[in-house]
Amino acid sequence: MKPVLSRRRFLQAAAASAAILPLPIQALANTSAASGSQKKVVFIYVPDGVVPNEWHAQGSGYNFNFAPMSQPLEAIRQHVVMLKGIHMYTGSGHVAGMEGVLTGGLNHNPNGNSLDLVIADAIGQQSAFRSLSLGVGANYKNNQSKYATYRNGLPQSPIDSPVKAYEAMFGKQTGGDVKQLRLNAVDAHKAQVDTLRSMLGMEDRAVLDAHMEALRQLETQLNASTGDFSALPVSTWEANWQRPANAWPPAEQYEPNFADVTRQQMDVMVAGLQSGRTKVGHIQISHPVCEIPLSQSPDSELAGLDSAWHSYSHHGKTATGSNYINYVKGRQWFTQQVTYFVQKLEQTGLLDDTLVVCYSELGDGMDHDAKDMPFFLAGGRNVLTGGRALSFNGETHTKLLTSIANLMDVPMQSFGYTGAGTGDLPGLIN
Amino acid sequence: MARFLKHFFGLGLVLTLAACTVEPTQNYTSGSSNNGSTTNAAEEYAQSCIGCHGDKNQLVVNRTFASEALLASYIENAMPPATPASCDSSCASRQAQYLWDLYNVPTSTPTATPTSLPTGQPTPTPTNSTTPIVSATVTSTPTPTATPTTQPTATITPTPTSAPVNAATLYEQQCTACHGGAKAGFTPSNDWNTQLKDQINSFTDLASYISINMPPGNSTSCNGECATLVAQYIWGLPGVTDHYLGGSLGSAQPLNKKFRLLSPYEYGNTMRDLFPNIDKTIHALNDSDMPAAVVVNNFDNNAEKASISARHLQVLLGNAERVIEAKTANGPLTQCNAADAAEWQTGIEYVKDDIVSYQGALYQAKWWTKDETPGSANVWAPIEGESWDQCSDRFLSDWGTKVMRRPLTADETSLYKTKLLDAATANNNFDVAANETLRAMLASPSFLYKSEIGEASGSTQRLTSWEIASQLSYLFWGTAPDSDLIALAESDQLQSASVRRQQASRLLNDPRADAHLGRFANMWLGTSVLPGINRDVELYDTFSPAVGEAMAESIATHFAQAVRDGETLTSLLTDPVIYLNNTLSNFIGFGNVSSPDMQQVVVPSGQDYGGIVAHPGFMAAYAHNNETAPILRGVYVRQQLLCQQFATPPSDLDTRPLPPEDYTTSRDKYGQMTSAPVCQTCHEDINGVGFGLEKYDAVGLIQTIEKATGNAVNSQGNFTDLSGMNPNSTTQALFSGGTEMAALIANEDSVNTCMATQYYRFAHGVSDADPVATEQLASILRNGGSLRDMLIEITALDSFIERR
Repeated sequence: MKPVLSRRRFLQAAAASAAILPLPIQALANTSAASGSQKKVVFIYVPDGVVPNEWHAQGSGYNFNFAPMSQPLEAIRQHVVMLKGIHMYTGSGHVAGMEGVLTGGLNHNPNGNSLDLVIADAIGQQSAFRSLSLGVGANYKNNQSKYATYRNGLPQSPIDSPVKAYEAMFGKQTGGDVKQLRLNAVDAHKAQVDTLRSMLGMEDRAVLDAHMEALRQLETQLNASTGDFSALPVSTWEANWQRPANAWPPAEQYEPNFADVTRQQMDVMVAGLQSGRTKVGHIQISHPVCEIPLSQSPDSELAGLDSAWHSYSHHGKTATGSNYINYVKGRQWFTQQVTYFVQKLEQTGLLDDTLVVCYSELGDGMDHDAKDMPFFLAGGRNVLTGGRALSFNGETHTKLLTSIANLMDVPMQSFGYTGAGTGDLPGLIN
Repeated sequence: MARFLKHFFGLGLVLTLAACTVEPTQNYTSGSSNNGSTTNAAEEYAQSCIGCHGDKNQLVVNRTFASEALLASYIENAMPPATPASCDSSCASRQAQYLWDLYNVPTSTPTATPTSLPTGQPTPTPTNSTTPIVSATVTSTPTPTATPTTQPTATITPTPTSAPVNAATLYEQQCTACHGGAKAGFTPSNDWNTQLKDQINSFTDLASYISINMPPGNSTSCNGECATLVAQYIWGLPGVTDHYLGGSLGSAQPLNKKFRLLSPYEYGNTMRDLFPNIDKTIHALNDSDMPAAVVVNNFDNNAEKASISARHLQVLLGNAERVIEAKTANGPLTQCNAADAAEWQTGIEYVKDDIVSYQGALYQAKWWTKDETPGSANVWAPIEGESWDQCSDRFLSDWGTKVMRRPLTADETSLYKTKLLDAATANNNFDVAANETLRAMLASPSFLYKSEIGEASGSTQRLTSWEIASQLSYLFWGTAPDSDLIALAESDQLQSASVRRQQASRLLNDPRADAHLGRFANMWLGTSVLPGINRDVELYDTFSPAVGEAMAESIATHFAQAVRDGETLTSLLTDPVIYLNNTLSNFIGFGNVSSPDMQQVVVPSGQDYGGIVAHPGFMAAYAHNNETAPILRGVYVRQQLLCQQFATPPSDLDTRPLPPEDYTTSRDKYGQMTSAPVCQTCHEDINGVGFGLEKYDAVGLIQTIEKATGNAVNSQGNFTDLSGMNPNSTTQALFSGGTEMAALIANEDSVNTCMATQYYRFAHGVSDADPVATEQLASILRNGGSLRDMLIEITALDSFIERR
């Protein structure tokens, strides 16, 4: 029997043998862009850095091995571009790292809009949800409002409940004509905002102008929420969440539900992309200085991770120490979840047009530095040439941000801080 | 100003300040050498540079350049500060040549390297040395800057989150080049200021002047709101009102009318109070469904920045649906007739306004009740059945007032009633229609925003009593007004300052104020991070998240109790007491407290604790994972307690720590890292404060040997320029440890002004406190009044209720 070599299998084979990727791949991408881009992008944040040596790929080009923390990516290696030697010159530490990582804003100045929203403003105008921002306990015990997404220099918090996020996109599955009721409310609120606005001086109207804009967007979103998408079992999710004994926190943020909610948010994101509700997504898994004891979740891989996740990042650099071992083990789990997401995209046929950008706010989690950041990309044939490991000598992460925009057909020469160079990340786009 | 300028322009260059008088010897027209233009460089200088750099060649030079080319490059890129594009390369060349020759600059040594492509290290810092161009009149000695290039090996110094653009930022961007930074206070520039002194009698006058004249050469770049904000800001800087007014106070400037979005915390409280008896795990009442809190000056309720997005509205609508579903599981929102009312039962809790049917008659609860039989117990009032029309009036009156924190307007009532009755008819069910109406209300703008609009009264607006009720309630309880405030609003009594004082006093007496006061204290001191901090488990094995939580609770209790007990600010800072529970008592090693509840403990002699700042929580909040953070301690003591602001650190700040072999202690490390002159402009006033607190380790315990390094701790501190950072002189105040430092601060008058400033910011959700109102509050503290007096008095000020 003669085996049929599918494109994907061909790519796998090409990657495994360190072959040069065939030219037609890029030609396909160009064709796609020219005929009306279907490209989508999802950013995924994983908290508290890595041990660089335990994360970054060993080897380069198509010939590389994953390190322990990134090992789960082996399952999707043909879609992945590992990036080593990218520094973040905009500032280090949990807070400055978060403020600069997607904005390119220097030293605690997350000016303007973060890259996800810049791309959303460019390619998401026709979507019901210009962008979809989901969190996994991202708002829970997040003391200094550590968020990566910024609009006009202000942090934008994600939706921590997959149920609420799902209902926002598709409407409630029960409870009558919720959509019409919400549309009625929006109508009434628009009239009220107009009334309130007229009471203010010109210079103080910005807040209500933003409210009016939000109502208009909400109206668009509601009109798009036809409930036509094959339903995710959100009611079952909600019913199965564990509840805290003392009524706090809300179940979606309760530690034992962390692993479930992580995957549920990923499912919601896939649903959002698949239904065309959105083209730009962001999933913030927890937040810098993540206090979740991961072992409270039922995943067997998390057994023994009884302390707050962040505490393992302070491992004393003793590779045989329990903190170090748990840090590697836990990060593998986070990587496994991103792998799950990419595989979901693949199963649903979305991956071809989708770019996944995974990042953290720190390089070395123990040193709190911004060197050798654990960025990686994953994506399908129309957006990315996968199966590669690229190595740089201190290139600025703002070049990567620039390239991500360019990969999404949002052309730019630079993004954010330019003091460490401008232009694309060399060799990424080929 | 000099020090600030150094900082402001600090790109790793050696900087000097010089003022000199030199007569130009040539008339520089660029045609002679550069580009054939006949533009006169001296005229250009007069037009574009003179505003800051002085007339008649009194050139104020605030940095040095190694070559004419570098000077030209600098002018091209950075001058004039507000509009660098207005002096292109040929203009810059002319000016550079003009100035270079004018001062007969000696040839200089190595050139500064601008920030360039990195070579593998984060945050590159140029290393260079230069020679001053003004040779004869240098007033401070330039020193070469050399920043060591090292590999990071330990925890990096986080710097504080900067505020969004506000008056301080505008000032920094457009004014500091000539007038100095806030650190040094406002410095009037050149002669014009003395001439203007008589013309400017309020910050409104100043705003007008700025609008018309500032910045020089580009006076249109700060008009309108910018001018107002900046003027307001300058007005609050040290010495400014004294300068313009000779010490007399003007009157407070009313705040703008506005709608203040509920903060996440306020939203959660408000919803929980509206629906007290529902299961909170149904995740209908998640504070984080509101937009992320915008934190400005440490406070999370800034009214100038917070706005809402579609995604938040979507979720808030969903919350309204869920909460109503839960609420109505036990009966309708408003009961209209006998058929709807559930039969009264024993064992069930009823709250005010609940209606039951009992032996064929209807009864309504006047307050909470359980197992008291309708008809015989006074708590149950007999009522008549109603039509839908009547019922809708009652529903809208009850819920409208509760949700909107004011009665619905006639228009609103009419609109809601029409929709409600239409829906009731369509569904043949009043309750379903009422639920729909309430859903819309709970995501409506009038619910989500606190109104500060008022009604016209003379030249200003006065808040309505309803708005004042909300102000009072959110200020002291963080939630919507209770029934007493609503009653006073209904009878319009809150216009009276004495009634407001009484209410403030009542609200503060209520236990509900405690958590809210404690929250203020933790935001003010920056200790609200404590419940989330982690410290190296091997170095600090007795520390746990529970200890962090106890520390924050201790500070919260301390402040709330100080307010309750009528303590002064001095007592708050210096009384030798601390609040401990069993967790914190075990941790700190004294007090022998066995209860989980906080109680006041007198600090044993020899223990360097006592007061709200010499507190383990304050020290632990400003520390790194494995060591102290003397820089953060120094900055935040000055900033939060004395309102002495530092400019944002330079954008190319190299925060990489030294390798462990290069230092002995944290003090040594941070001393070395900030030793360059460009750093010392600010750090000479920061480090001495932080170093004096080195006896507290990263979890706030007393240390004599540093755990991380094994070396002895030196806790000798020096609170230089305690009264305000003066560029022309440096005062000394030696201390060691938190209690000595607290005593120094408590004796400093600006601690009163600063406390007033912080509370005003918190109360009004603004970045910039009105200087006059602040002074009114500070004078209470200064004259021996209590914190409680100040908190009450803020509600009696005209500024509390006047808007414009």
